[in-house]
Amino acid sequence: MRTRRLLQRRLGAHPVALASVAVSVAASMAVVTGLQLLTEAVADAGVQSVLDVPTRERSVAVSAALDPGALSPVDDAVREEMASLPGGTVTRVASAPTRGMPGRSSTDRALLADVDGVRAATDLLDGRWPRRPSDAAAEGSGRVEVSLPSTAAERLGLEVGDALVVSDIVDDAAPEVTLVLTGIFRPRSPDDALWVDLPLALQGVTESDFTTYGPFVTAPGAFDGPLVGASTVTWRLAADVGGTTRDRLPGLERAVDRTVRELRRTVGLPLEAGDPETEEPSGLPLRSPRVVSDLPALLDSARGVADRTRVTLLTPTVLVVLLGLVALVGASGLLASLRTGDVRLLRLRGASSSRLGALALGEAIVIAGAAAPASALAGAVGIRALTGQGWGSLVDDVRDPALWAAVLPLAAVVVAVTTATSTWAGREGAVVESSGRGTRSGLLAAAAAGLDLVLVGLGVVGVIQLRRYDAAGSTTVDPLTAAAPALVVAGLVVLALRLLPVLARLVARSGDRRAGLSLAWGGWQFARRTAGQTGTIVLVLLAASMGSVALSQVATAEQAFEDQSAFEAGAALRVGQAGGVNASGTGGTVTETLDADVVMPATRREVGLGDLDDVTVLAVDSARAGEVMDVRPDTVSDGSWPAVVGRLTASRDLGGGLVLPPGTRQFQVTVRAALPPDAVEDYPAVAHVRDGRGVVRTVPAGSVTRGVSRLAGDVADLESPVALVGVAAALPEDVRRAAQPGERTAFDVRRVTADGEPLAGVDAFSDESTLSALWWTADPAPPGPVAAVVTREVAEAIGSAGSAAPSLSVGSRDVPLEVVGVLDVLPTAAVPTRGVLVDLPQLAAVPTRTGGDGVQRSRVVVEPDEWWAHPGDPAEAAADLEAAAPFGTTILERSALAAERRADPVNRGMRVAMLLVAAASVLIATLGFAASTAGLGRVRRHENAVLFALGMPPRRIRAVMVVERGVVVALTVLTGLVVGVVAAIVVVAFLVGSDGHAQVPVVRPVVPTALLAGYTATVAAILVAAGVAVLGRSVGDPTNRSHGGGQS
Amino acid sequence: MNGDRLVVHDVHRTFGTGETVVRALRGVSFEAGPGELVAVRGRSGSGKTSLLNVIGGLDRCDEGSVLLGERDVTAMSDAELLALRRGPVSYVFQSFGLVPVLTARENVGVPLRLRGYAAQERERRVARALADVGLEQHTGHRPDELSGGQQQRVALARALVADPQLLLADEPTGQLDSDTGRVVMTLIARLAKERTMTTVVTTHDPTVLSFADRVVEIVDGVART
Repeated sequence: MRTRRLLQRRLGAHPVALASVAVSVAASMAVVTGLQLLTEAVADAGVQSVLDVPTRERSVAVSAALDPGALSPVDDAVREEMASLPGGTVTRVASAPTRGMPGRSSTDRALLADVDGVRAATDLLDGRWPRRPSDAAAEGSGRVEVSLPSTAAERLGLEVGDALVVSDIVDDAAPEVTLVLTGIFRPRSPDDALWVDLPLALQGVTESDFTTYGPFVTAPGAFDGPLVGASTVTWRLAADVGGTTRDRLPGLERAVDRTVRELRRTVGLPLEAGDPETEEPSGLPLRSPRVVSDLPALLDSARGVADRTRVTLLTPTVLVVLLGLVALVGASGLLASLRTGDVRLLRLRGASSSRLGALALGEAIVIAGAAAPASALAGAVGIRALTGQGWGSLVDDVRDPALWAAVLPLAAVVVAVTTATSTWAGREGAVVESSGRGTRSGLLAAAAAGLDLVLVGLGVVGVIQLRRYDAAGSTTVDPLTAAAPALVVAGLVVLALRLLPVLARLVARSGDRRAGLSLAWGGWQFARRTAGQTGTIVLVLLAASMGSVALSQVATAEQAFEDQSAFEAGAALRVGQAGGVNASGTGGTVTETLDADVVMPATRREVGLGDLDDVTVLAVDSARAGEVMDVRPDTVSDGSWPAVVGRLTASRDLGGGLVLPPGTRQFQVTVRAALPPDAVEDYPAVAHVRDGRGVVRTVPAGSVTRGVSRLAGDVADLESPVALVGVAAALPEDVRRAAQPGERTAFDVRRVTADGEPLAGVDAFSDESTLSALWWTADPAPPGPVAAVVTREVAEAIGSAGSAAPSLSVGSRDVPLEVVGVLDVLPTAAVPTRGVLVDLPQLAAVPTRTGGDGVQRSRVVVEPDEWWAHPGDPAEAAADLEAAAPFGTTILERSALAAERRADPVNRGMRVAMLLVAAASVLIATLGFAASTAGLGRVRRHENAVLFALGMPPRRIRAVMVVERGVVVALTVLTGLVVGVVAAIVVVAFLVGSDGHAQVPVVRPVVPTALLAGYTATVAAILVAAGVAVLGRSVGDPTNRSHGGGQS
Repeated sequence: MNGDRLVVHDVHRTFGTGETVVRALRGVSFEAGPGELVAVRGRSGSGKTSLLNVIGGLDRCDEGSVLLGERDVTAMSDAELLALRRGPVSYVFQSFGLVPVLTARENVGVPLRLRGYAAQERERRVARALADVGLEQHTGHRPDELSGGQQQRVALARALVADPQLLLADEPTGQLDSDTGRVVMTLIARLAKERTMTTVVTTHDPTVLSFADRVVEIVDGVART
């Protein structure tokens, strides 16, 4: 009972100091609790962000070859197993081997497909959906009803009701099938799961060595009939992973693993890939089964991001805990120092150490008990406010065991630290003030003993580890690594304690030489009482440095978003060509919508180069690349980007061509074709023209027939000067088939006119013809290497390949390269470090090696399929293009991509966390500084009374103390800023790069000078203001105080 | 410098109200001339320090007057009292009143800083004051590096550095042993004579009384000469 009464009196003895301890504790706990809650929310958001992927990446696919009649039992079995994954949707696509198209080019192909669910995923634009014949006789008639995407129908010139004959390209004896077009459709969304296994439906036509049209979609079940034969069927289970949270991941992973294993068992594959021992025969009628899924890897990646998010947000949490602990120790020490007299009296009256300890413990429990619920509520409310969540489930938040799992351990730490500090400080005397030489605080002594260097060393090791983990993409991070940023900051802060006394002495010396007292007094007090103020100094140092790190992280992340968006888009605006028949319209729309001067045509290929796969070859109009392409300067070696890319333009030699007079609207070409007697059709011809930029384009030129033909092409819309560099006409398969053995073709250009005016130079062209095509081409560029800017990895691969000149295979060309510039990463490249940039006009002019000693211009035109631009208002230009561009055109706008990155939950969460750290730093430091200043005012009353007796006005005494505190604040905040900047340079790149996404180009630390200056000034102003407010109350009027004399 | 004549006339000072009222001074009167050292003797709680505070303007009396030359201390405003303590009146405290983190030189220089002396003149005066008390070898020492007597001599140097006309010393030997106290009092008495400075010393130490030109005894707030 006596102890309880003592405790009550103790609690009531210094209410303001006690309140300052409680508020410091509550504020720190609230911030830490808030960060814990934020971590959970951000981790969940990170998981959902990772899982927000195209259907292909979040699905399980089963494919197999089936004979007619086998679909039903296999379909039932596969669907049954797929149903074991809750919430998934199953699609099925069956496709037959491509068929030839008699009467068209020998390289034309038709793809037939049976698509389950096609009606729900498309809009029927014309006609009706195909029907399966009602009886076997009708099925054997050789006619199959089909529907076709509009893009394919337009390209083939087919309308509803038309018929198209297709043939088996392997078995000449197989009967031809007549496809009857009953309907034309258009896919509703390119993201629909159906098109993952049938991408042709989105474009209608694909061109490679063969030109494939389709899909010709049959009626359901048509593949079970006799006409189509064997087919490949793919079932795709798209998992519903939206809204998945971190705690649901393990269950989802187990369900996916189980489903994949059961599917493998069902189709007769080994349960463990590559382990025949685990294989069980399947009773289903299928061949060549496959079970493919990226989902396990995706879920693993999501778990990794969640782990990394937690680790990343552990850094600000550790920093705030560190700050809170320092504040707590300082406030508790201050309280204990105020109780020195009470404690001495209790000891004199026989109180034991254990009893005093019990009092300290009781007081600590009261403080923690009051702070815990307040901090839990404040943390939950604060995070909801900062993240913009509603208030609906706030009560649930407060009831959440996870919240109390964060709060209660903190409360226990508070009890332990408060008790220990109070007991220690009570034994040692006041910690706020110490005087005289040779007195050191624990931290200063630790610094002197090299603890700061040890902390910095540990931090450096941690950061190295962190970068290694980051580079390896590992999700397992050890505690040292997680604490690395905090260790770096802590180490630098303690290190700064060595520096501060030196700075303070300089201030003192400066004041010593002046007439007045204020500056000298401030300098003396700070320089000679550093030990006594270590707690305050460390608190302010930590606050200033942590705020600097937090704000630098935010600025660095902002810059990283811009850099990565610039890398992804390549320019302010990048337009990708629509597929199928819309392709040719994209370029025209872009140049019509935007000013042609800000547009750079480009095209890309993925090729192998030496030992490197997936090398992106980007061919651009290099004359505009310097201003249009967004290349970060520090990724370019050997000069500025315009200078480096200008070397491509400087080395241009585009070969021959028949230059048309400026202003030519149309050219005409008179040709004579010698063809087999049976080749009596009109064969479409194209002209290859080079525009004013050097880009070669294909222009429709009419038709070639046997004998003499007049071809014509419009060039009015092309940039002058335009040059004719070739004419070509593809001959259909029929010509080859109809030709007699030994029969040849010939192609001769007689005359070329521009708007009717004859042009000279026709003889400089060469002509060639086969039974497949007729060609007439201008001279190519001289053989020799093509200038290229390559990435460092490519340059090193080329360098290590020996003396052989590196060359690329692009568009039937064998392109030898000469490296004229090196980049770290090539914007938009699939593998950022593997890229080759060449001049598109130069690439078009590269000769094709025909064997022996002859070279000629390639007959394959490398046309642009991307348009990069830097319009004045990219957002407005993007909107205009959205409205005008053909269906399927892709538009990437850099600023929109950056906005998406900013809105990413992980990035947004980290930003909130860091701003919270900055705000918490100011709050906790202000509370701690105010408390210590109040204590200082009380402790200094003796000295203040002496000054008063010496004739110093009370107002000036306060002013002197304000100056003194100002000196402390100024030196400490400035040092904290330096510490923060150093720590930021070391750690923020990692903090930004830990959201689980690739950071390309590498993150550069950004130190926002103006922002940090503003932050530092604000912190200093707040602290000084708090000091002034507190000193106004605590210094008071020293008139009635003792000045060291007796009380008589 | 010549000191001013101090005239204390019928000074009353009461603390508290009602039942807790303490009448610390009840009509104290005495005079002290330039170069004269007056000792105010009394037991603990007799009102010695209260009297000194009223004389030095640290406190105000309820009745009576304190004249320093032509100046009526009791009629001065707060600002005038502060100016009084920065110039004509100086204190020496029982517990020295030195700032522990300042060296002897810096402590002594504080009053001159308050009066805005330029650094060079300040250093010259500080050096002289410390030499006057025999501490020219200890200018860089901090209080905890000095003995009690040395600390009190630093306090004396600080009190004298601004050439006061009235020196008020409150139990200056209270924390010193008798030999050291004698040394300090010898110094005070010598400097008081040399500078013809009016000096009032409170004490209950008989040793101090031997240095006094006159002794005023205070018993329960009443002076007896």
